[in-house]
Amino acid sequence: MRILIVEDDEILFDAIRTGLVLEGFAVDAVDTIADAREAAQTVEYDAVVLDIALPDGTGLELLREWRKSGHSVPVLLLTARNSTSDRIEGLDSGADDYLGKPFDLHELAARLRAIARRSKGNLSPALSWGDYTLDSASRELTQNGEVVALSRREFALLEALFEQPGRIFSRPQLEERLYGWQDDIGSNTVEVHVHRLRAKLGRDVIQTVRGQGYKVARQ
Amino acid sequence: MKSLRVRLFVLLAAMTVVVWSSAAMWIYVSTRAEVQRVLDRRLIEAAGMVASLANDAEDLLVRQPNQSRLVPLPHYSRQLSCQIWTLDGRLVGRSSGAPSQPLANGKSGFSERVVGGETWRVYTIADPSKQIRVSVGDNLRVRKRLIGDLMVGLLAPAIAGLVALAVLIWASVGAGLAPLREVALRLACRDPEDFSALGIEHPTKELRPLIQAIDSQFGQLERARADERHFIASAAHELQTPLAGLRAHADVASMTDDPATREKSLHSIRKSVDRTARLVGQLLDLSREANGERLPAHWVSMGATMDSLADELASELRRADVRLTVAATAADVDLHIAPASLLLALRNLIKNAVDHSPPGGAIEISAEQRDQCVALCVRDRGPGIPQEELGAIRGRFVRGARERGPGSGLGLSIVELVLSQVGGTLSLRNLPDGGFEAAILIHRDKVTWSARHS
Repeated sequence: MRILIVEDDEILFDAIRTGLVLEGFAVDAVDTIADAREAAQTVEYDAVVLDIALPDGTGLELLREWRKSGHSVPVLLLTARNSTSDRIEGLDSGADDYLGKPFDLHELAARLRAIARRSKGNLSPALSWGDYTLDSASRELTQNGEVVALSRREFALLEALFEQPGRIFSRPQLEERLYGWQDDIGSNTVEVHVHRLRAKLGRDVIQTVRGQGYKVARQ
Repeated sequence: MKSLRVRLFVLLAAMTVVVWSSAAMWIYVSTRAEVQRVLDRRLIEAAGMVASLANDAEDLLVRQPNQSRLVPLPHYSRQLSCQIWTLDGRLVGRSSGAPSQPLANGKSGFSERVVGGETWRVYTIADPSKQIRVSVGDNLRVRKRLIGDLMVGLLAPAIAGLVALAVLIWASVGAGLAPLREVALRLACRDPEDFSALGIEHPTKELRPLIQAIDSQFGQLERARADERHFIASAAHELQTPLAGLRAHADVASMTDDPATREKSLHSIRKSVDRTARLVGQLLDLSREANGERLPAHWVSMGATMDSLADELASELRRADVRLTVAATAADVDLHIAPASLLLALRNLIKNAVDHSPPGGAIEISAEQRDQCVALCVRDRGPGIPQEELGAIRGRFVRGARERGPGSGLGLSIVELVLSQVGGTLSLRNLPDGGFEAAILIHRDKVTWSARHS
């Protein structure tokens, strides 16, 4: 799941990025509204963590701008101003969730997963496909109750495919979802992850659509 | 007097009573004089008329020998008494009710005489051709009653009028004070948190300055409250962010298995604690300065001040790899200032300069003459501040848009506040050949400078 963090405090920014990567997210981080605007135009994020007080304006302005132009990326507002009226203003501006500083990183991760899931129309935190159940919260894949060990990227790739069965993801789309800008893609390309997943799950789970990409069959 | 209405009423009522009493007095005096004149006139006319109508003394004596008789003078019988005497002093006629003793002593003209316990005002006229003297008199008691009746007739409506006026004055004063009552009512009914204008649409001329003063006071209070709220919210925000950083790094440190990541998080926690501590220290400085306790000023050596600051900041300078130099011009300056204020201002400016200096950079403290002031300059070789942000940068919690350093945006506002209390100003500019200069300007009367630099 790819997340954009918009936060200008260097230390907090660094902590959120590190923490969310540990939670299995692919993370991009910017510290101004201008950079956030540009990032959201080039990458399709699963969710955005948006601080309200930013050096070149308020996060609320950016949020309203996005909502007005029909940009529906799920947004979690992050702010020190945590009164009820602030929360109402934030949610009314089009935010999907709201978290006051200071916060628990696990809670931030859980809320991000929840708003990303809801935006894709999935109500249950667990995605199932065939015999498989993929739990985003515990980051476990089980087959008939048996845990299948997956790496972080393998999990993220399978999660993307399970979220929207039948949809074909191109290789760049999957890369975009798996890697932040700062991640070194290197040799760990999508093909390698698909290859390893097939070794673990069998060949018939992930299908290759020639010339287009990968999908799991619609059920 | 407690009530403005009662006060006005008493004043107006007292004035009315005084004016009316004086008028009544005047009327009494002039009426009495006029009545006397008219009645005297009547005496003269009556006497003349009696004399002209009377027969000769001889005839009167023949018809009524040796005794007085009633002369038919019906019209005058009530008020006037008339006597006809012969010139040799025999009473030959009198009106009914007139005494038999002479009313006058025999001289012609006006006279007053007490006869039978009553005072009479008498006019006497002599007619030598008829050998008679006619005296016509008024009883003064009757005259007084007449004047008394006249005055009562005048005073009774006047007193009724006074009572009516009192009621009208009371009501008018009440109506006249209505705008004042409205102001008082609005003030009394308003919420203690409400600092909006009174909203009186067409204030009376006299109340306008009062209402304007109240509205402007409320405006100032509201602005002060808004500033305070903004300050508290900003302070809370500025504290929440490093706290969130602390919390998040603590979470990361407990989540990760990677020793390098954990070490990095612990380092960030240390940085965050330092930064929070600096912010809390600045908030304390600011509140101390804002409470306005004036410290006594005395002559302070800039050189000694810089030595102690250099000691204090030595480890910070070493960590940032920044050199601090004090030019001879600055070291020789003595200032008349509170030492703690100078330290606080310089410390904040130097810390700002450290935050913005590149590693290996240098900060130079120097002094120079500028117009009526001496400028103590803190110059760094950092990137400076974009020109368009220079104006706003002194505000509380305002940081440059490119700012990523550990500052909270309070430093410059602390310096400004400190300087405003010692009569100095802060001047900020980007240096033409790169770097930034913050200068403390102090009036030259408060500075001594060794001759070789001036």
